[in-house]
Amino acid sequence: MNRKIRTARGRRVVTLVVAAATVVVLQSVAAADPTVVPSPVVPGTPPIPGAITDPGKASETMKTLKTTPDVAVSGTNVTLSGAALPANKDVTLVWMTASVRYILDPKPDSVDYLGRKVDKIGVVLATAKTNASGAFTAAFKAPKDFGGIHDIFAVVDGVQVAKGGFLVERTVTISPKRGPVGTPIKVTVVGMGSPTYESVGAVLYDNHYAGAVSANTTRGVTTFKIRAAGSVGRHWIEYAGSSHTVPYLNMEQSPVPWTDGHRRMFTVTKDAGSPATYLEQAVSVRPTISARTTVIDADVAKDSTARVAIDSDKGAILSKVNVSATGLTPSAPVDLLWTSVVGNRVNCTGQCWKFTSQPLGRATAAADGSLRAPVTIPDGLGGWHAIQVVQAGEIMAQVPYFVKRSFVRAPKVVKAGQPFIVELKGVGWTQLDNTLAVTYDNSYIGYACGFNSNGYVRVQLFATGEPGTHLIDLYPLLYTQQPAYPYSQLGMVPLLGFARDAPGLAAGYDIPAIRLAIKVVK
Amino acid sequence: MKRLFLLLGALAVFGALAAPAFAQVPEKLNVFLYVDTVNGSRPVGAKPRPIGCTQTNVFQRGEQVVFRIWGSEADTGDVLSTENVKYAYVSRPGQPNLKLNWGAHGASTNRVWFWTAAWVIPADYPLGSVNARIVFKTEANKFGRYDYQMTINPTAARKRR
Repeated sequence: MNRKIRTARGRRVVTLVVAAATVVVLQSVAAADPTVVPSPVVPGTPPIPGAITDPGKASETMKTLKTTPDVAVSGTNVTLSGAALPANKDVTLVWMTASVRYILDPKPDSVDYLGRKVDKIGVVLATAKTNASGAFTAAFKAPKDFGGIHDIFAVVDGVQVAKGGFLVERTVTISPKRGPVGTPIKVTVVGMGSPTYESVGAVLYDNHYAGAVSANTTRGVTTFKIRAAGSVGRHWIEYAGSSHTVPYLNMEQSPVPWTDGHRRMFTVTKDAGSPATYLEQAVSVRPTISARTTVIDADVAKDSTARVAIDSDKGAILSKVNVSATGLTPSAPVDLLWTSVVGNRVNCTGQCWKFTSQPLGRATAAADGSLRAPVTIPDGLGGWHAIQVVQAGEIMAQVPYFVKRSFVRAPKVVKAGQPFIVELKGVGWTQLDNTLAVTYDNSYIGYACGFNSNGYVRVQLFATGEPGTHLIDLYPLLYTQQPAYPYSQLGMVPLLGFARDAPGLAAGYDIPAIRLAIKVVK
Repeated sequence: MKRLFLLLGALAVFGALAAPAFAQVPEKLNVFLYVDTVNGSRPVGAKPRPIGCTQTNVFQRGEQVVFRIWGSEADTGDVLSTENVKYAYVSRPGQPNLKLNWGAHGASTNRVWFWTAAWVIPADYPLGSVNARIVFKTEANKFGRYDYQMTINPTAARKRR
């Protein structure tokens, strides 16, 4: 590669990009642009339990419906009846529920997590017809839906003539119920609610806080895993009611007492040695928004007709990627650039980070204006970046690439009372991926950040506990403590349910949990 | 009491000023109403709460809801009482209207007059949201109406599972 040309052209491009970035950053600081993001399709999510409908207007003389039973788990057979209603009329039974989506502020230089948006909706649960005396009876199965109380309206000619209600009870199950240290324990929750104080679960392991769980985009149903830790014998997993990540210990005195805790026992059978390190991936979903950090459409030359593609759009640092482009100026030099950012949020006032541009390589376009060139993804920040194709100092085309978080190393054996380090690379910089939450034997002990260290994280830990296997789990974390408490209540703790319900899934943030173990010796 | 009504008047005026932002045609206010509910000390189908007469709009079946209303005529500022009210009631879905009574409440050294009605929530009353409508008609044939939202929960406080 010709250093002189690369530097000169790179500088021009960088200047352009940084100038644009400055404007963008200032704008984004001045006014956030909250975006309600469509929820991705997560396998296993129950469908909305009926066709969405207008729930009608309340009658001046509304009657009541009898629902039997009216407190039960999803799937229960339920009978609904009404009387003294308009005679010989078609009745639509409307189940009130909600649609919950996350709110993000996707910007070129970051993505902020701003919380949830809950929209109340009515769906057709069943239909019936009143008899000559205005009575009807209908049967249905309690929907697999958000937990908590759902209003039910009998609607005749667009008017709510009667109302009933049904409480979907929450269930929590674990599997398996016994196994050696390190056994992944799958926890299944059905019936988490949609309102703030019913939408978060807090998980305790032997009274140690492990993290929070949500099921916002999976309609109250989720599964997650923690690992069996501790000495041989019985251990307690509590799935506690919560609102803002930590247990609400007297939920039964709250207005939503049905979200109280569920306790499940797990028996550790033996310590069979440290399980191998592995990454637990989130479900594979199609992102629902196209905004990607560092990808600014306006930076591309207006008259460019070039197109660029890559053979893979995600991978770890140092991944090899083949870039192909068409529509370039024939037989002219091409610079391939990598976009990223540099800076941090620590004690930040004003502009705290800015865009950077890094050369990936140089080539020459073919006589037909095409290009094929291999590049190596830089060892730097994780998350979304762009590969840019540049000719004569102008960006001809660009394509986003996601750098995945990767495990580097950790010791296998540590003496009790000694410090040790876990190393990762490819940690990102947005509120969705700049940090990771660390648990030690299912006890949340803190977080580590990769922004200021360009994606390279050295987690400083300390070996404690009895000799034997101890577990370290590194979970995704939402780096936010927004002051509006009802909204972004999942910040700064292990996101145990990351694999199925996480704000970043809609934006293509594919962040795993990293599961390690050490052997503590005397 | 006077201070309370000044406050209510101020709230109502604020509401009237704010209304044009949301409504095309501001509704003329004939009667100002303040409505709340407290837990009554005589529940029939639920355990009494440790403290009675505490403001809340979330009740269990079997508990006693006490509606409390203060009001005044917009034109005259007169406090709504049996002297100027023809009738006053609370309606709830599926239930007979509940007559509101004017009376003095509180400790003998600090009696406060307001309108009340008590309702024990039936054991089979539908769970969820309930709209209670408070209606006043004055001797001057002016109406006051307020829709008050409550939530009805199941009775049993369950043990941790």
